[in-house]
Amino acid sequence: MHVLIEFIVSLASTVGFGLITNIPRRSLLPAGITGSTAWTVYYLVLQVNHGLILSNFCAAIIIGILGNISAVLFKVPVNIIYVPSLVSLVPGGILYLGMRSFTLGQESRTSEYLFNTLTIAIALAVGFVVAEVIFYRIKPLLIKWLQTRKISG
Amino acid sequence: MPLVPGVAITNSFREIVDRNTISGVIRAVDAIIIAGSIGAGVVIGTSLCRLIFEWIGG
Repeated sequence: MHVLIEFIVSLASTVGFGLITNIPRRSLLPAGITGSTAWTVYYLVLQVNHGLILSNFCAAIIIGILGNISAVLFKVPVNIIYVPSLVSLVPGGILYLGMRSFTLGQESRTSEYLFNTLTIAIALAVGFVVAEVIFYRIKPLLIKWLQTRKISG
Repeated sequence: MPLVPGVAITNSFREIVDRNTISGVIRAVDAIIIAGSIGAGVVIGTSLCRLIFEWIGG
């Protein structure tokens, strides 16, 4: 039940950020499904493993694979799918908190927040690279499937 | 959340990993400057508010 609520709310969040960033209408639904699947995977992994790295890494792999597939299927650039579906994962709030405690002069909190920010950002970037390597393997299959479907349909 | 440069910092690390080093470093510096400005602005606003309230409340 919690998982269903997380799925629906993150779908609404991703579609809303897609509306803010003016992505094309035809890529609104795939971006929403990508973002909500990634958030659900993040939530489920966080139940098992209370670390920052593994959950963000798995979510980034899901975003990379699903985003590349829907970019091929719906004929939009990959970044258009990436940006709205990444918004719910990205370490912006922690970066702001770290900079606020930096301005207030609280050293230990600053180092904790900035370290968490750096960890999450690097985990997301490495997850994207791994997802693109995986997608490089499944791209010929996808294109072949598309061509057979186009011929038969 | 739209104000805060989370997407920028993730994109910068993606570019650094993709070996577009200069573009990624520029984006990271930009994101850090934006975050510092937001933090400084919030702190200045809070202290100004506290000052004004003390002045009004006596």
